[in-house]
Amino acid sequence: MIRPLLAGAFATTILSATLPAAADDPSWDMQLRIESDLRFRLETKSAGGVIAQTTLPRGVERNQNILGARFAVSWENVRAVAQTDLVLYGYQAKLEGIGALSEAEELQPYRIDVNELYVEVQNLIFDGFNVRAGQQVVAWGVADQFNPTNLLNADDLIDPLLFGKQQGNFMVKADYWVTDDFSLSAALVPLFKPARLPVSAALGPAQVGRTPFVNRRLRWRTETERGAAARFLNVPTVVDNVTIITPEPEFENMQAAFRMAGTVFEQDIALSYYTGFHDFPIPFANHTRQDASDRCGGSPFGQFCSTAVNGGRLLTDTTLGYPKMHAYGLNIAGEFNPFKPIDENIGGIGYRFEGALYIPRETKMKVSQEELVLGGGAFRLPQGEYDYDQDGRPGGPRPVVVEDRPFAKWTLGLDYTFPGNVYANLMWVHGLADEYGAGDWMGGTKEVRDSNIVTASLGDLIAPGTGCISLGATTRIDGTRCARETLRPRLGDYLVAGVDVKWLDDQLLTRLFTILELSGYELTRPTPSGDRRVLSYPFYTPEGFSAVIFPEIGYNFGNGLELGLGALFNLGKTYTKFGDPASGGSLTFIRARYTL
Amino acid sequence: MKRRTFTGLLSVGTAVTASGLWLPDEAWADEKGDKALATIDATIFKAKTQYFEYEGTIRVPEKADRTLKLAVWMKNEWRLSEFLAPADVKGTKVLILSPTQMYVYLPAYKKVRRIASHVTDQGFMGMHFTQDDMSITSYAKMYSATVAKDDGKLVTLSCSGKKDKHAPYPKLEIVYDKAKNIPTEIRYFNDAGTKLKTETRGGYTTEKECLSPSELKMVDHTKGNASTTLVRKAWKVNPDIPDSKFSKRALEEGS
Repeated sequence: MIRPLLAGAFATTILSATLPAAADDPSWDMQLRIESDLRFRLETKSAGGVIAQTTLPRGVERNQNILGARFAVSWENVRAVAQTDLVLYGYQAKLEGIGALSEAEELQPYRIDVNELYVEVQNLIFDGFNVRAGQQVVAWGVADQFNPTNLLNADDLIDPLLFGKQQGNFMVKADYWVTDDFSLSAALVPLFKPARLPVSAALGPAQVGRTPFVNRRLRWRTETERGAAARFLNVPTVVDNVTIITPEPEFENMQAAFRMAGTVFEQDIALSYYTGFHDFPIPFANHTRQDASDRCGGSPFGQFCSTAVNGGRLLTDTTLGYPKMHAYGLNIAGEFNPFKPIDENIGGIGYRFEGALYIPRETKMKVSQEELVLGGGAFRLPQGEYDYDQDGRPGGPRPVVVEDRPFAKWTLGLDYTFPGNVYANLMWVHGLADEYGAGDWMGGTKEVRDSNIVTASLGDLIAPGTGCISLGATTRIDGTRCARETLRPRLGDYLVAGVDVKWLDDQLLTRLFTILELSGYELTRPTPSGDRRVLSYPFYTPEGFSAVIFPEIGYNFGNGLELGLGALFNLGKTYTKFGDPASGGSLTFIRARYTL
Repeated sequence: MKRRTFTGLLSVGTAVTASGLWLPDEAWADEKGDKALATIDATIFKAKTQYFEYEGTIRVPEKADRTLKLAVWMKNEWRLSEFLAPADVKGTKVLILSPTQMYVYLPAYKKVRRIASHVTDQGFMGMHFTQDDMSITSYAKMYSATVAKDDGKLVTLSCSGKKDKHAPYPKLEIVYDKAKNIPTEIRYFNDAGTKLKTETRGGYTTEKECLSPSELKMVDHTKGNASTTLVRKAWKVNPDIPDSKFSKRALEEGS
C-alpha cells in the first residue's frame, strides 16, 4: 500500500504547485480492449523424476479473457494516465476443499495488471523539465523485444507469446530536454519488483541436476553424492520448498538509473547507467532434510521405491534471491545505406544496437543439512553446514554461484522492408533476459544443464584408486571420475530471424519468427584413465539443437477487430534452453481482440 | 513497387544499355516544364505550416469499405502524422524529419522506434498512400519536367526524378489546371514505365491565399484498382506549430 500512497502524495504536491488558476477544459482519452485467448499445450511436460515430479499436462494451456482499459487526461501541462488489464483465467486447476466451490475468486480466478498509473507534469519549473511519478514502464532500449538495457521494469514472462514485455512499476522519472533531441533522464525505483515467470517455471527448480556452483570440483562432488544416493541406494533428492527472498525495502536497495540520449549525424545514441538487481532469482541457500519413510514413485516411475532403511528421500529447501548489480548501457539506432552507390533511391537498412556491461556482485551459496544417514548408516553427513573444503569441519569457503566478473549482453538488429510488403528482421542476441553471469565465447564459466553419474555400481564408486568415494576414518569424495555434466555458456548467442508478409491490402498478416540458439552444448564425462573428456555438440547437431519457431496468421478487419491463429514450438532436448520443460513446451493458440 | 529494387535496376539497366537509349534525367526536361513545376510548387506548397485532419476510406473490390482518420502537421520538410481511428491504431504517430530520419510511436509498446527509409514506400493499414506519397514538399526539387500535352486548359507534365534527390518514383505525369496552377491528377510510374498509381485531387478551396484539395483519391493499379480516398475534415493554414512538435521529445512526451 505504500506505493499508491507515495504516488498520490507526490502527485498532489506537484499538482498543487503547478496548476494554473484558470485553465482550458481537460482533454480526455479512453480506449477499451477485449481479448480472448485460447491455447493448447501440445505435449505433456514433466520435470523432477523419481518419486516426485512436476507435470504440465497436454491439453488446454490457458483460456484467458482480458478487459484492458486505458484512460488519459491532459490539462495544461499535466497529464494523468491509467492503463489496467483485468485478466480472467477461465479455470482453476485445483480447488482446495468444498468451501472453494462457494468462493467466486476460486471458481473464477483473475488478476489485475496495473501497467500504467501515473501523473506527469511537463515543463515543471522550467521549459523541458518533465517529471512523471507512478506506475509506469520505462523502455529506453532501442532493440526489438530483447532489451539488455531495459532494467528499470521487471520482465513479464507470464505470457510466452509476448517476448520482451515488462511489468509496470512505481517510479519517479525526470527528464530534462536540453534540446529537442538531446535529453538527460533519471529514474528512481523505491521498491524492487521481481520478474513474473510463466507457470511452467515451476518445473525449473524440480530439475535437481542443475548444480549452480561455479567451482567444478565441488559440483562434481555434490553431483556424485546425489547421483550415488539415487542410483545405488534408491534415495532420490527432491526439491520440497522454494523460498523467494526479495530485497528489503531499504534505501540502499532502491534502484536508480540515468540516461543521456541524443542524435548525432542522424544516428540516435544513448548512454545509460543502472544500479539495482537482476530480476530473475538465483539460489542463495540450500538446506537438505531427510524423509526416512517408504515411498514408491508414481507413473512413469511406478517400479521405483525408496525405503526408510536406505534413507528414504532427501528433501531440499531452496532459497532464491536477487543479486545486486550495476549496468552501463549503450543504445544506437539509425540506418545505413550500402545501396547508395548503386541507386540513391533504394531505401536504407535500419540498424539498432543495444548493449550493456553488467557488473555483478559476487554471490555465494550456503549449503546445509540436517544429519543425513543413508544406506543403513554406511554413509553419514553430520548436521550443519556442508563441508565445502573437506577439511573434516563443517563449512569453509562458500561456493560462488555468480562471479564478480563483468559480462556483456547485447542485441544487434537489422531490418528491411522488401517490395511486396515483406518485412524482415534479423537479430543477434547475446544473452537473454534470464541469463546472468560471466560465461560466453569470450571467457568465463559454463552452467550445468544436467548432471548425473556414470559409475555403474556401488563397488565401482568406492573402489580404492579408481572410485569416487574413499571410505575410511574420514569419508572423502572426489567426483572427477564419476560426474557427468551437460554444459552450456551462461550467456547464450541466438539468431533471431523474422519475416512478416502482408496480404489482402494489409489486412492479412503472415508472420514467421524463429530463435535459433547458436551456442551449442557440451558433455563432460570421466574417462577410464581418470581424465575428463569433453564432447562438443554444436547447434546444428541433434544434441545441441535448440530453437523456437513461432508462426502466426492474423487478420485485421479494419474496425478494431483482429483474429489470430498460430503456434509456438519449443524445440530441443530437455537440457537445452528451449527444449527445457520449464519453457512450457509447444503451444497452439487462437485469439480474438477488439479495440474500441 | 515504386522504389527501385535490385531486379528492377538490373532489368532497366540492361534494357537501356542494349538499346543505347540512356540519357540523363535532366535531358528529359525543358525550361517550360521546369518552370511550370516550380509554379505548381509555389501554389500548393505556399503555406509555411499546415494542419490537416482527414477521414479516409479504403475501397477494395469485392470487400467492405474500411475507414480511418488521421491528423497531419507539416512544417518545412517535417511531417507528423497521427492516426485517430480505428481504435486499434489510434495514437500511432509517424514523425519524418528527413528522408533518413524517421520515428514511429506505437502506443501498444509505449516506445518511440526509429524506422529506416526502407519503409517509406509502404502503405499503412492498407492505405494506398504511402509516406513517400504524402511527404513530397517540392516537386521541382525532386523532378525535372517537360510539357507533354497542353490543351489550353489542362497541361500534362512528364517528370523524371533527379539524381540524388530521393525522388520516390522515377517518373510522374502531373496534369494541372493551367489557370490556377493546381494539380488535378498525378500518375506514378516505375522504372519500366508501368503506371502504378493514379492520384486525383479535387475540390480545391482557398484559405489565407493557399490552395488545398478537399479530396484526394489514390488508385493503385497494381492492386486491381483498389483505392483510398482522403476527405479533408479540418485544415489550418500557417498555424503556430513550434519546431519542437516535430521532435522525438514531442513523441516521447505524448507517449
